[in-house]
Amino acid sequence: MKVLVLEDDVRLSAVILRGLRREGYAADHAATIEDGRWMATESTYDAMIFDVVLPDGDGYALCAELRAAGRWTPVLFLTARGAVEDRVRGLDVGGDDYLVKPFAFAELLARLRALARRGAVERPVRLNLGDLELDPVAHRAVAGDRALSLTAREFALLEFFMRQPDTVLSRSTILEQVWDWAFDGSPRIIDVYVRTLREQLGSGADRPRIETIRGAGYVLRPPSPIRAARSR
Amino acid sequence: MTIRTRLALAYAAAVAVTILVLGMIIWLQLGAVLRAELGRRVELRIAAVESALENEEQGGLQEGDRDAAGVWVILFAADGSRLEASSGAPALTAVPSTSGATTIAGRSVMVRIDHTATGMTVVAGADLGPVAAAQAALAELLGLAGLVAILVSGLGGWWLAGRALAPVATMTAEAAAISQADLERRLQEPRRLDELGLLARTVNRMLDRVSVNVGRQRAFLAAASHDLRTPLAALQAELELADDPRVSTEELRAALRDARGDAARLADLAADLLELVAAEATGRPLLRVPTIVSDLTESVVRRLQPLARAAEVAISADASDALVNLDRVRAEQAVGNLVANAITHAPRGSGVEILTRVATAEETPVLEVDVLDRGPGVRLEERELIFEPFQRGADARGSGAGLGLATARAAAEAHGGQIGVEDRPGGGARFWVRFPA
Repeated sequence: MKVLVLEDDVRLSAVILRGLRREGYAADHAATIEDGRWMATESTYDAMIFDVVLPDGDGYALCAELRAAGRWTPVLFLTARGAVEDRVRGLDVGGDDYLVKPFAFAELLARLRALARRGAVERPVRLNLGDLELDPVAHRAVAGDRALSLTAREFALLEFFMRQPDTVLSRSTILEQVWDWAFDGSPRIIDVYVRTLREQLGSGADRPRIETIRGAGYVLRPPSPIRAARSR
Repeated sequence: MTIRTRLALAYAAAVAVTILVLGMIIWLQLGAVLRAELGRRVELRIAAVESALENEEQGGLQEGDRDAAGVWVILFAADGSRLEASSGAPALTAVPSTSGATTIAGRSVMVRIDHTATGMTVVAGADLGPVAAAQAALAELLGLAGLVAILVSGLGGWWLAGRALAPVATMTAEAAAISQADLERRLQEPRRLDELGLLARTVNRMLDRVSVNVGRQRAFLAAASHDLRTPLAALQAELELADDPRVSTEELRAALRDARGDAARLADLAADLLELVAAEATGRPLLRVPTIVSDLTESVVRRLQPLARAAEVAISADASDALVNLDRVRAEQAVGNLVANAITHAPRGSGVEILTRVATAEETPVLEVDVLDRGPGVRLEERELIFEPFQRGADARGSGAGLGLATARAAAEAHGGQIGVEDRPGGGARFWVRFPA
């Protein structure tokens, strides 16, 4: 297992590296954002441990940068900044885990193992399809340059579609995943929501659209002619 | 008692007093005027009677003289016996001793006396009863009107005061709602810049200052807690790793050594922090003692000699036997921090100089200390920043947390002085600090 440790404190990074190597990890060290960026893009790691406050920048920004560049290596933030806002920020920027200093080494190791199990799966924070962009963190949906005005349920439905583009989803699947146990109404409600979504989405050359497949369900089609490829 | 009640009562009292005073004056004046009028009529009557007596040679009152105009007349002979009287005249048997207002047979009257050429005495008088009645009527009217006026003014004052003070009540409620957690709220400032507007504005300015202070404290606390956690994490991790059966004795030894180093680092940091907190707390007073400048500089040099030797830097200080009044401990610490900072940044083999001079500014002696080094200097844009706690410049060396310069500044400011840094001609930095003695 190969791990990158991005931490500027000399003593602490020495201890972490020693501990990781003792456990059999291959551990690399970077003390600045610049070095960290270079190493993260040059090598493939199974997990990366990022400090947040570094002399030449901030660990969150580096993580966001890597995600934007399509690097999905799991990132664990190891930092003294433990306030709720900081933790939320770390996770929302694309990080996978957050550990506050001072920490128990055993816990650091356990979390690294959990991250390695998850692997580098593409899991962007923001969803993009054609010129439609969905940001679950800010709860915003933008089609082209127009912001959509969606209720919470409409947003959840659109997100569900966008996570499985070009896949036919049956009414029952949609009902199961987007509505909860307590829902007792008719599946027809999905039709109502789909109609609203279609209105909101509008149309455009680069705009995905929701297609009805009779007898099977609905599907969110990426804009043609770029049907299978996704931009950004 | 509320201001409102006091104002209302004051209004009512003022009106009451005014009415009372005015009323009394009017009452007295009325009495005087009426009595004067009465006196004139009595005198006119006497004159009429006397002229009639002279002209008619009848020696007595005429028919027409009797009881004219409410004025009675009594004629007395030269021997003092009563001759004649008009109707309505009182049973007066002798000439009264004086003229003016007297009481005759239970009646209050205004009397005038005159002696004729023939030796007779004419006594005329009129009842003062009506005058008293008029005054009583006036008093009654004034009393009634006065009571009404007092009541109205009292209530009116109450209402007016309420209107004027309403903004105060609003402001009080608003201010009460501005809590520690919500320091961004401000009082609503009324458009008019009257007393209340000024009060609101002043309170808001005060809240601005408090907010800034709280912000600084929070930032300080955040920075301090952050800077403590990393060394703590290193120490904890070090010890945790050492507690492992796979570890050899040498590794254990090494781990303990490192842990000691971490603990020492933490202890230093904690001490610096506490020092800075104490220095910034405005409650801590200065303990000024007479200090010989060279004693101070020599003490600093002695203390930092080991650090200088390790860094292969030579420290030199000028000698000055000037005497100044300073908080010796804090001034020494401030200068010491500057010198330590200089030593850390000075290149090997170079020197750090301490220069002192005592100048006079507005009749107060001021000790100026310069610490010069040949290090990389401080960038222009950082010259303010580096004196903030936990701030280290981009070219900063050394493992400190960035508290030394902040502590030095706190000490300088406590003395009423200043601190700063400039470029040194020929390369390096010139840190200067001024202590008004």
